[in-house]
This record gives sequence, structure tokens and C-alpha cells, in this order.
Amino acid sequence: MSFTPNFSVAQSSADLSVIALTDTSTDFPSISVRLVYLRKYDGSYLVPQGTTTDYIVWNVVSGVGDTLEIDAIDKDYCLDITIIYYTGSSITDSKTILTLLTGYGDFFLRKLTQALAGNKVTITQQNFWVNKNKLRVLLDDASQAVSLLNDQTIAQFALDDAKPLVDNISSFF
Amino acid sequence: MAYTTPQIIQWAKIAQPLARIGETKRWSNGDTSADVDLDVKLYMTRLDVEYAYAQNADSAILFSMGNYLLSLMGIYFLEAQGYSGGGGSITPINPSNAPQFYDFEVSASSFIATGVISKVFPSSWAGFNILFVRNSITQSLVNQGGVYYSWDKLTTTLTLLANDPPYGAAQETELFQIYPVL
Repeated sequence: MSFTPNFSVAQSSADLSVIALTDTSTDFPSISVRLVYLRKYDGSYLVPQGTTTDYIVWNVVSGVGDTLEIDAIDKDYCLDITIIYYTGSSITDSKTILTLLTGYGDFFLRKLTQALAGNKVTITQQNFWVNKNKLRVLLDDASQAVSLLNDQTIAQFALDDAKPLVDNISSFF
Repeated sequence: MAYTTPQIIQWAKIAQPLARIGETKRWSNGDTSADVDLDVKLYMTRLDVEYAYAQNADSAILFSMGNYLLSLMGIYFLEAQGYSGGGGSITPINPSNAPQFYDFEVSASSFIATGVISKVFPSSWAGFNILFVRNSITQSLVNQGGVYYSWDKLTTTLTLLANDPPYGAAQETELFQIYPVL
């Protein structure tokens, strides 16, 4: 068996700005450090506030099962997440996964329905359902763009179209 | 040639995001016939077809529902077919699958930053060769070869090989253009 790098990504509704990466590699070799790149569709990199490099350092503790929390997600993103495994100064391997993060949109839709169910809001906008459907579809657009087209640009385009709906509740809902 | 309902459902999923960006661009370009919410219609109709298919895959109504969904896809139908290689023809190589090229001046914050020797490209570059133009000089087209740089299209890693300028590590203000090539 040879080293097969892999990882999973999770976003918690408790704190949408944080994603947790878990190393799920197999046959973990002698790795000295991992570097994590969160690449946006325009080629720039997303990093936590105060980070001066394009990457985030992920130190090795146990190897497989290590978890890294990154607090940098300020909106919904489609990110090319790359982890590079270093032994000394040499690259041993790398793994990239196109990752869709729709926590803000999903959570917003859930809150709308929760509020309706609890009679905590009155539908004042004529286009309430139109806009709610539109938001749901835009998130689905992004999902299809990733799973079927592997296209980060189209996915981010849909997410950015959805953002004004999430940000302006009084105007749209 | 008749298409199956699962084929149509799959194409509708693909056409949906294509319609979102495509119709928005048409609208931005002044085409008032653009339907910026076509993706919403595709999504709703697809769910209905999926439901009908799950209820009874042999239902006669699926023929007309499927045709309606196909017609809704409009100009995005052929592009969606291209992505999934349907229709029994050779799978077309769709240009929109190719990643965007890089064209930049090396700096501390450029895609390949000053002093960098090895760079991993996004996964969308996997499977492509590259055409690397450094300071207006075309280097070569390679996979795991070359003297001045190497490119591994499996790991999408570009390595600048020689140690001394004008080769080797990226130097401040150098002009880099890197194109994906099949």
C-alpha cells in the first residue's frame, strides 16, 4: 500500500465562519508538515485574518485523524482546497478537492422556514415564495456545477447571485 | 432518437447552472429575451419529472413531461449533452472545461510568488499539458519532462528546475503566461 492523501471538510451551523478539515489519508508516511491552500475562483487565496501567507500551516500530530479548524469563511464559497504534504522541504504528495460551502444560504433558508412555522414572521413581500425558491435553486445551481461540471466559476457565480437575498432579508422576504 | 427519462433528468441538472450564468450574461449584454430565471424553471420541472419517474417509470405521461423538460433546456441542451457524452456520439471536448489561463507579473502576491520554485495548480488543471511563456519566451509543452521546468499533469505541479535566473525560481517582475493545452 502506498500513501493516499485525502481529507474531509465540515462546516458547522454553530459557527458558519469555521470549517474543520480532517485528514483521512491512508498509509500516512513520515510527513513533517501540511500546507493548506483555499483557492478562490479568481485565483486568490482565502486565509484567516492576520495570515500573511497564501497558505495555512497544518502541523502533524497523529497524521490520519488530525483536525484543523479554519476561521475564514465570511460567505458561501466554492473553494479549491489543496493540501500539500511536505517531508522536510520536499513535496511528498498533494490532494485537491473542489469544495462547496453553502452554510450561510442553507442556514438562512432554514431560519425562514423556522420563523414561518413559529408564526414569528408575517409574509409582507409579494415575492416571498419567488425569492425563497430562487435562493434554493441558486444553491442547487452551485451544487450541480460542482458535482456534474466541476466548474468553480459557475458555482461561485450562483453563490454570489444568492448572497444579496441572504443579506437583505427586509427587501426580499 | 428517443432519450430515456434518467438521461433527460441528468441533462437538466447540468443545464441548470449553465442556464443561470448563460442567461445572466445574455441579459447583461442587452438581450431582453433572456430568461434569467430559467434555472428555477428547470429545477422545478426536473423535480416533477423525477417524482413522476419514481412513482411509475413506465408511465406514458413521462414522454410528454420529458419532452417539455428538454424544450425548456433550449440552447443549453446540447452543451449539457456534451458534458455527459450522451447521444451515442463521441464525447466532445468542451472548451468550457478548460481552466482559465494565468497571465501575471511575478510579485510577492502573484499566483506564483517571488522566489517560488514549485507550485500546485488547481485540480481543474489535472490532465492538461501546459504552454509556459516566461518573459515572452515560449518554454515547451511537456508532462514530467523538460530542462527548465517540469509539469506533472496528475498532481498539477509545476516545478521551475534550473537554479539560476533567467530560469529557476520566479523572479520579481518576471512575466508569466501559462496556458492549459490538451
